[in-house]
Amino acid sequence: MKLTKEDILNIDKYLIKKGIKYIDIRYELIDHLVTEYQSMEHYPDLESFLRKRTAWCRVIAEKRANSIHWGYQKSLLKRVLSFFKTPPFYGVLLVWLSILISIKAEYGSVLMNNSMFWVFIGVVLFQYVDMIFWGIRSKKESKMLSISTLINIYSLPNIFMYVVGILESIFQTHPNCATLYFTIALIVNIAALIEVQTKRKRGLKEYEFLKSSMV
Amino acid sequence: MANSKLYKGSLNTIILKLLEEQGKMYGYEITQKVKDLTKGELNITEGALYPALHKLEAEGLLDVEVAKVDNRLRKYYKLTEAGEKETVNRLAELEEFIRSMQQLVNPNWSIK
Repeated sequence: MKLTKEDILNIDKYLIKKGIKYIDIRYELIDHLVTEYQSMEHYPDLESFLRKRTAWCRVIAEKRANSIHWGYQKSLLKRVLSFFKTPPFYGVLLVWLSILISIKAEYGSVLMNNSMFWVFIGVVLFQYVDMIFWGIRSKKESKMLSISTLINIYSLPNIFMYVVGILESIFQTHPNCATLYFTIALIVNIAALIEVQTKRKRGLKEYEFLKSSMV
Repeated sequence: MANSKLYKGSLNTIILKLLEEQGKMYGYEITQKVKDLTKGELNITEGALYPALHKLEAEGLLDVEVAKVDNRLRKYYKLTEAGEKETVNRLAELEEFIRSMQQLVNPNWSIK
């Protein structure tokens, strides 16, 4: 028995009612449920069929969030590594180091590390502004799991900020450690910013496609 | 039905192998294909299949393609380049595992 557009719409509504709000999970579940139902020899009542499958639908939605989280952490590391495979990155790094050496020669290592710290804070603040701005502006984010959890990408790079206080005494006695620390922190945080923007752009495009293609 | 615990550790390899053979597949199709191939011995549950597919996708071993089928969308999974290489490795590992198990349970029989 082929399900009608209305039946499929009802399945979608049922899933939303059961707490599966993300469109990027629902469309896959809908296809599975419809295909399974249509291939049955004896067709049960649609609602009782759905009731029996609610539990695993929820499990899939929960586990999907977990796999996305780890997928994002992995993609951030890949992004960082990709920098080192790009020749222009070494040019930027060279310019950056030249500026640092000039500041150090002119004003000393304390001012050099302070400048680095504020550049780093600037990048982190930009991330926060980005999160707040998108949180307010776009309601689409809350409908796509893959976009709504994007800010998780910032969690690992933000650790660099939280650890600064703990490492302060080491940085004072070993200024070179601070230089290295802030350089790595900047690279990771900039990589996170790029990763979030790229994934968001792709996610919003996917959302528009899913929204227009679903019943 | 066979003891599903014995298959649990091999689920990802089963998925990768099927996709290597079939090119692209969707979730329900995978469950049915496994059921057919094992003559109903192995029944992959949805609660195990989809998380495994999503994990492989997040690891970059699978790529997805969305197509409109009848009045709904269908998500097809296919191997990425990294997925193809991983499939070869995992199949070799599985074969080695089967060989070792065979040695343990029936030393006089060999799969060559």
